[in-house]
Amino acid sequence: MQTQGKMTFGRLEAVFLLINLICTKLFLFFPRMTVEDAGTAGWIMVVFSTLIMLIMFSIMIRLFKPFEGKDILDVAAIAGGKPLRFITGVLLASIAFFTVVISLREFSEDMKVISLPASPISFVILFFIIGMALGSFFGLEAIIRINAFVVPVIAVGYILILAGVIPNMDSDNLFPILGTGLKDIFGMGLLRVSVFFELLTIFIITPFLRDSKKIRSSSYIAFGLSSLILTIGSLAYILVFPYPSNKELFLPTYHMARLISIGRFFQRIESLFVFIWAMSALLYMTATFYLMLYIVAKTAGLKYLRPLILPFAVIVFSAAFIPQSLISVINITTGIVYKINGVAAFVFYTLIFIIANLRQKSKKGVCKN
Amino acid sequence: MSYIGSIFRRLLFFEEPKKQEQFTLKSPGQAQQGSENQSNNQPGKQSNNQSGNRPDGSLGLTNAKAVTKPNKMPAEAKPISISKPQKEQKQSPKVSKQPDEISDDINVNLEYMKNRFSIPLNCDIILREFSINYKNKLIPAFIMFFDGMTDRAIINGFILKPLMVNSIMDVKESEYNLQDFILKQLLPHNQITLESTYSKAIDKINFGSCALFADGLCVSFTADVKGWEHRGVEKPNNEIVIRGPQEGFNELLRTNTAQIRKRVKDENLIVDDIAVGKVSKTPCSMLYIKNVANESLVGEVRRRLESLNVDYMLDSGILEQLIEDSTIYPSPQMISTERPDYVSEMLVLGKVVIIVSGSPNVLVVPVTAYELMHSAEDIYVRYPYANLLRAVRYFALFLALLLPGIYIAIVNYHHEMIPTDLLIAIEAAREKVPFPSIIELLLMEISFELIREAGVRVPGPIGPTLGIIGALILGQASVAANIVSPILIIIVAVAGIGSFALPNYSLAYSIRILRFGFIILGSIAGFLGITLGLFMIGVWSTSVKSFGVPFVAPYGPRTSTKSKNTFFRAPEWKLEFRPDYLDTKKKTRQDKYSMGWKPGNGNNRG
Repeated sequence: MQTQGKMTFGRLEAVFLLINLICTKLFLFFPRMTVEDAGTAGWIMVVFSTLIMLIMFSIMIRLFKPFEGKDILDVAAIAGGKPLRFITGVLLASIAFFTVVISLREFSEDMKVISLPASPISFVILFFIIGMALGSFFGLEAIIRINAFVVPVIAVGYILILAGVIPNMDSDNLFPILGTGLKDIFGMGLLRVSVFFELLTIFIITPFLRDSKKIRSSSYIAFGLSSLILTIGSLAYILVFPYPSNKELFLPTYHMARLISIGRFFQRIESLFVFIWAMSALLYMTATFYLMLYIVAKTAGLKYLRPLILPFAVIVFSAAFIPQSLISVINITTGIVYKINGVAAFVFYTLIFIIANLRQKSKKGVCKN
Repeated sequence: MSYIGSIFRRLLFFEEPKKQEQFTLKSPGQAQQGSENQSNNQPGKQSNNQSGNRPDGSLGLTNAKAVTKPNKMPAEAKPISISKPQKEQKQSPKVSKQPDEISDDINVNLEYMKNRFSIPLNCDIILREFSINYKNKLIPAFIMFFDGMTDRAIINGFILKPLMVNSIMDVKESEYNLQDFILKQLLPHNQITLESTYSKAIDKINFGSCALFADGLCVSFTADVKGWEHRGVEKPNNEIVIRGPQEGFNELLRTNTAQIRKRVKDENLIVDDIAVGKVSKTPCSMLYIKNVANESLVGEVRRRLESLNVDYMLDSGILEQLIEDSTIYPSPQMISTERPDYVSEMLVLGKVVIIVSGSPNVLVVPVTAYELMHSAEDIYVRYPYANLLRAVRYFALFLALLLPGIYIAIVNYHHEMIPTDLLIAIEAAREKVPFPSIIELLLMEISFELIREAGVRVPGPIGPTLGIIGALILGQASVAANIVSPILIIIVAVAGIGSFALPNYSLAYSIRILRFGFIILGSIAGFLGITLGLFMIGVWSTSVKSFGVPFVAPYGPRTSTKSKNTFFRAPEWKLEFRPDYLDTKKKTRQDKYSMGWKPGNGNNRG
């Protein structure tokens, strides 16, 4: 428990934050994307991506070890001084901005389709923007705590959906077990490490975790649980819908929830899914939006973050209208973001960590001499 | 206009926030250091629990640490004449060099006190002049007290009689001077204090003491002779339990502290008196268990109480508003209770209790969101029953807060989730209703609030009439007239009953306010709106603190839940730990194997 001094948060809170950041995509396109990539072997692809990410992340964590209590911007400053720190800040803020804009539009479009068909998209976006701005206003402490509080509830809701569709599961849907072939499983699996891209958020929140043991354990726990949840989500989707049709459903988890019927009375309870879905979206976007502001403020050397909330909320709101339609948003996400992000981030982060390690060692060497 | 201007300025221009650290609990080790420093600075400071423990429940504030600094403001001590203009009042009185110090001239004192108490305009102040026989000399003296606030029998028998009658008795040559003669030989009263300033003597008179002035003495003797009428210890009116004690607090401070002390029975229970209000000097008591409560928490409560700059503080409801952390957050941030047993339980956990003289509602700090859902009865009934009751209360909270909002969301946006038979029934009932659902719902909610408010204000004999109006006219007639649909009446009634089932009255208020918010959100964006509302409340709640304790602890932030008494409670023998978020000096409240009689030292518990 925090008793005094600068704000810190615990392992469990960090785990819940990371799990929500990584797994929210389960409510969007993710299960369908795995099917598109590797057919009925989509879940195997997720397992493979997990293993690849585990190796990559282990390397990154090992390289990050000497920089306890520092975030990626501080490490970039060690590696390349203020210019590299600035470049890193701008790059990360841009990625966060892009992520917020794309996910905002996608969530809003999906919400419009399933729940508010008569409302204009700007109206739906406005609701998410209000949530993001308000959450950021209350700060990281509040965001972290609400994650710790709500994510277990969302998890229970998702488990109930999975339990509800068990009667609809058919093991025949898993075959052919290798789906569209090994080339797709391993080839696409390599690129799809990007689905764990949000795990790298740990390198931004490290100053709040301080202890390197806590950083390591929380990131590995979050990674393990997230990969398990994503694998189960993908597997359940493949089990419920046969291959040809599961490539067509635009909101896989929602369609799974639609299948649930308990007796004659509870036949259309998918609307309840909106609660966990919208809550998860709000948590995801608020956290991403806040981290974007945090990076901007830190890069620009600003003392206070709150003045940035309103202008950036307006910018994000406006930028969310740039994509033409939901299809174009999905194409951007699955075709570009989740193919490039992971590998590019791995290369970028690893380079920074290696250079920073070398610089630090050479400095120590100079000092000894 | 200036207020609106300041809002615009805040919106348009960013002002650097003032460096004001928010209070957070310090661990006992760190706090100890601070408290030692504090106690070193105040060597004469001691708790006031030994004073004034009168059987009639009156209070003797012999060592009261008043916030006011009487010597600091000589203008306050000047005689005030209501007939004179303000400027004239500022002239220094014809008293001694220090205006607030009592003169040794009885005439000066008499004149001063007459002016201060506006005699003869003020009719309930009694001024009795007489003489004391001292070494065969008649010393002029007078006493002052308020009629109605004091016990006449005590004044007559134990103050006036000794002074007027006993002083002329043939006493052997006394070595005492006049002051000691009065104090040690004449006055047999058990609570006499000497005051050297007018302001202190006046404070005592204002709070039911009798002040004695004698010629040649520059002190006043004040005797605690409180004797006003008061309510006895009765059943709590608003927190009724089936199982458990049936005593409630009343308006007397010492009766209330005694009710707690007789339950806790621990010499470490500290009753620390603090007067609040520059004019009213309302006596308040801060209670805590010295070797359990967190020092920094106690210090923070004391700091908040002592720093209040108000003229009058008349009730714990006002005090609550003055010392709470967040003013606009809907939910209460401290427990207000009229049950001494519940307060004792809270003290044992390590909380701090504030009692205000004249208020039967006692404040307990800090509090978390879950504790607002606990009832005093929870600890008296077996744990399965307690948990059933809690489950019912959470369900009631859900109904009271969300049912109307969810109804309007389903009817407007998510009708597919209503089963066909029910949908047909709802539509058939709504067919003839001319209003949209939201108007219909708001109409009923506002009517319900009107009935509830009128029910509180209505004089007793008219009560049944209100019931008839509410039930028949607003319920039956509005349905018959097709103003509202029957299902809506059920929704509003169930939500209303839900709010009555909440154990905390203030919490029920906040739920009533928020319910309207959810109705509006549900009507404009369906479940998305309600989710946004829940998110906003959630994120707000996680940022709120009650005296340094996060409001949704131990789940946000995640801390130890060893106390096993949050959402639900464990069996009594498992409640081994005090709440982690209180950072108490003693972490455990009972041994691990509290049931020593069990075979295997508790290993076979079950």
